[in-house]
Amino acid sequence: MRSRAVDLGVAVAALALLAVTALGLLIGGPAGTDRADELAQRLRCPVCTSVSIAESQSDTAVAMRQAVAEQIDAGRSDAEIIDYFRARYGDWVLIDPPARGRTMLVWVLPAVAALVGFAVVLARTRRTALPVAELAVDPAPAVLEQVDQPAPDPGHDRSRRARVAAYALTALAALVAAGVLLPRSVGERPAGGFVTGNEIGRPGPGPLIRDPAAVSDAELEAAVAANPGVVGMRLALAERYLAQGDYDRAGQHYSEALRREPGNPEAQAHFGWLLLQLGRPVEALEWVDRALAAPERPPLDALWFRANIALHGLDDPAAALDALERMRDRDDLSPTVAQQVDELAALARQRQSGPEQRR
Amino acid sequence: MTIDGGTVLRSGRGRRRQVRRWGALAMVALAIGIGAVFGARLGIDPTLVESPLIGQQAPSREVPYLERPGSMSLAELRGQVVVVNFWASWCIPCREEHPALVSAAGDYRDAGVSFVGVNYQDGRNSAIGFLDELGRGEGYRYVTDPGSRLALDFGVFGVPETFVLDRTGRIVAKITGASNYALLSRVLDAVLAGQQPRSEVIGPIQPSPAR
Repeated sequence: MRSRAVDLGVAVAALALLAVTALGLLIGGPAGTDRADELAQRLRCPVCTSVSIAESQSDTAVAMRQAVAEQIDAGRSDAEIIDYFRARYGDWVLIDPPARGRTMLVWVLPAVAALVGFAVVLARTRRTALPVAELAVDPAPAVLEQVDQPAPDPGHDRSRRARVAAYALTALAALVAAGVLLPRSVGERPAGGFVTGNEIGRPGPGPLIRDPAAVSDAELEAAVAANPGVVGMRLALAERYLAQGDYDRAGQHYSEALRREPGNPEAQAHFGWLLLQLGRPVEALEWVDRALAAPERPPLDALWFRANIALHGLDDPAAALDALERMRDRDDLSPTVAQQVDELAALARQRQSGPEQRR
Repeated sequence: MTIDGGTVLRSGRGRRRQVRRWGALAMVALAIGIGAVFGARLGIDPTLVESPLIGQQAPSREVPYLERPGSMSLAELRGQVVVVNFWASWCIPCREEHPALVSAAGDYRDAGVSFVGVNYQDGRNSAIGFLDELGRGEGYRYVTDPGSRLALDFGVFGVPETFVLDRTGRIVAKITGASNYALLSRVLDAVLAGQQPRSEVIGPIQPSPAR
């Protein structure tokens, strides 16, 4: 009896609150008569996040409010003004999505959910209320029920099968979602991407130029064959062959590069280096010196090659030290190269003093 | 409860258990369904909106030049293919795309393509400073947009946004975000050949300097 009183109290309180709200809305009437402001409330600010142009102080919102005011002065109707913006920004510009098409769902679903909830509550209260009433009138059905319960039930098997099928179906759906849909959606996201797929701040499509180190020798060879005039690429390929010890191919490309650009210091220097590897230090020095005689600043490589040729090929530590000294004076020397220069210089000095000691 | 099928009588407790089971099952199915709906939209940027202006006549509002007296309207350029680029000196992607626009303006000048750069919500001095630093295209018209009116006419969300107009003054393509030379030339080649190019979303736009 007490619980019924509480229920009644709650219901009355809820109704009273509802009545106050409804009355307030009714008496309050339409909010404001400022057409410009009312229209601004309905338009979404293009440069903000889900804010109407009435609430935003951004330049764009100010410009849009001004446009609204001008069109009102020009005697255009609300619908015309809204359509002006819709024609330019699409339905997106409306704060309230239109009640048609796909956005219809936004309006319909809450009502459907409320109805379903109401129906469920109603069904539940009925079901719990009924047996009590029956018991009060006649206890027999309840007794019957208890007697019947252990008896074999022809519908039991069927409902069990249905249940198993439902579980299996749900498990399958979960598997599909987890195994197929999820990896696909997640997989397309770039590294560091947003969960929403909203890739603001993402750089454009990847660079067209690949990392040169990832290009294979064969690909580079094909590219050089297709563009025989691009000497820089040919030299890069020749240097690869040189590093691999493939002196035949390196030689071919250096000769071709020098045929096309006889004065290219990089080609001259590397060709000299190749000749040293082939055991022809005198010619090697000639080529490297040609590179060093170039009017522009000689490549660091050329000096390094000269030092090595002098030291290892011609056993002339003084000339080597001279070349290394010139390298030390350069401002484009990286710390690692500087270290290598020092090591070679130490070796050269050791060689220089070595014969004297022997003497 | 129809699922009970042939059951004649059932204890209240059994039925409740049944209801609870089906309820749980329904919840799981609902959760998976909602998950699938949201999951299917993971790859879509909700802030990017298709322009409803494609296929429409371009606005013909008069706008003043940025660096010289006088004004112009896009209607004057009818008969030419026109590239209308909205930019600002505070916009980082604009900086990125500027060289592509400048070189495309030079390369496509003889083909009858005019470039119009609309300076968007910017100071005159900083806009000129931007051009002094990054260069001006050959025959490139730089204009200002007082009150962002032309930008509103074009439904601009932020910069950079680039619109391409065909010879009849219709808007045929929109590039959202920093464009590049390859894309510009692809779109322009298509428009010059009388084809309908696809609008492209390249990257982010910057809605305001504060961002």
